[in-house]
Amino acid sequence: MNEKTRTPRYRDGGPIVRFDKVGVTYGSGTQALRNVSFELESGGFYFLTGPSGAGKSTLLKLMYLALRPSQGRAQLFGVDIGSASRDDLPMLRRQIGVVFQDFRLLPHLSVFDNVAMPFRVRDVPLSHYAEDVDDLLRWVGLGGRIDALPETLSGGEQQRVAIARAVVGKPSLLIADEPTGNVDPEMGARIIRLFIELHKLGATVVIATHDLDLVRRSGAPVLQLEAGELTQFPGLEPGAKARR
Amino acid sequence: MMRKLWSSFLRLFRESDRALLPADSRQVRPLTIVVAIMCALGCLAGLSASAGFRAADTWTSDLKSAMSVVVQSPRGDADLTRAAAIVGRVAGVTRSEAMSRDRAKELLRNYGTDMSTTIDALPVPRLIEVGVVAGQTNVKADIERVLKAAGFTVTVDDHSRFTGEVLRTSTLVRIVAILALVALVVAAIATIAFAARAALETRREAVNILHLVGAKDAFVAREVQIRFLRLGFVAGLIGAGVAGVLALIGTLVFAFGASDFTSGAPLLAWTDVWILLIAPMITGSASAIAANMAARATLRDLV
Repeated sequence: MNEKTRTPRYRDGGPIVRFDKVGVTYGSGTQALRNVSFELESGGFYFLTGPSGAGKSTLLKLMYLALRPSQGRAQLFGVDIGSASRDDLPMLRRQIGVVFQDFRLLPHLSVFDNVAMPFRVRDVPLSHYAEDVDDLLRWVGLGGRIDALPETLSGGEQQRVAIARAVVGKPSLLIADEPTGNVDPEMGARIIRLFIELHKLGATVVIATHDLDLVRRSGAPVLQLEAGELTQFPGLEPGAKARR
Repeated sequence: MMRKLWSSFLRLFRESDRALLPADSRQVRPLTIVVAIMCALGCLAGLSASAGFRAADTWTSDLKSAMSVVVQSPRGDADLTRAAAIVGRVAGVTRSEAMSRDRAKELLRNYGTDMSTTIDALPVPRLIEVGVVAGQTNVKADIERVLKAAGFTVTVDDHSRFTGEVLRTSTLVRIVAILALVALVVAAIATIAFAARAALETRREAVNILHLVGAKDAFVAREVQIRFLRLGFVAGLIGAGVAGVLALIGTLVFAFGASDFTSGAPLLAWTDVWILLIAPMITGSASAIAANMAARATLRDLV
């Protein structure tokens, strides 16, 4: 990948994510997360599980900087996201790739432009990323649909576009919310292999899923949420580190 | 060639297929019409101000460079010619011409009353039309002095009472036109700012996605700014075009219906075209700046 398109990597050596007694209370008074403490080591591969309404989405929102904690201290790449200035957030977000459960593609943009979005918001010239985007779209099986609009794609195809957008910038932290939920088993396996490849390249991967078979097969550490509290995680006590 | 130009012009109205924020034609069209109308009114206010300036200058200059001598006695044609010759020798006088009885009657007729049957019975004033160097002082006193010395009883009118009124009226016209222009610019900026906020609110989901992939507020604001720059420029072109057509019609109507008094001061001049030329650029720039500022303020409310 071209040097100019590469995302700066977190090289501090400490935990890439550190939550200490983090809580989130929404405006309505609903407490979505309570006293959540954990650390994710840089370069780790983790699953996040839990029943619907357990607080998985809220935890992911904190991790991809769509939300700030109401209580406790949350750090990403060594930066306290509760007190980080608004101007600091874009640079942190550029180190994070997110696969949303509902894809969140821009409907008026082509498949190519949706995937190229992380480069375009950084004003990277088209010539610096066009080939990478084309290659990635071919790899996820959408090489023939680069000019298509999202509404003309199936759910599985849209999910692959969302995954391509999340990984195209080679992020340091990749967060995926049910990334295999809308694809067939073969594509699901390819997607997991892609995440493993990115993990091997040094990215920290966090996958939220209901697929317990996938979790068991992987043998990766699991964060389990129930009713807004972490109920399973090695080193659950504050300050303890996750098993790799 | 014309087709290419037309195609380029039409492209101004269309969003790029690659614009990161989705277009909304339901908002763009009415907003373009509103801004175009404001721009047209702004251009007309500017043209009115310019025409007012020019007319006032022309009228005051005409008034200041002319005097009328009313000869009360002796009133014969030969006396009038002699008086005109005496006036012509006064320093600062550029022209001195005795007015014939017929022309003096025509002047009376211009007051508008039907005097066809009675005007011949009236003692029409015996006048000398005098041209003077504008700004020359003491000419009035010199004319009075030399004519008195030659045995004439005269009244010299230097039009000073009209000049003051013209200046006061033209100043009022200028102030009203400039205030109207400022009010329209402020209204246009407020409209654009409101529309930019609305545009971001309706595209909140897209804005959130852009933020989450690492867009800075400045980048999103720039996307909005580019859109409103285009909208303002296109609306400015339409508004200036409409104003130009209206001004041309007004000029033609004014020219065909001009009286002796107004014919010397054309309503519009070719130099006024600059107002129409810069209007799209000003509208575009003002729209872009207003949209950028409104977008940044709105984005601060988001995460």
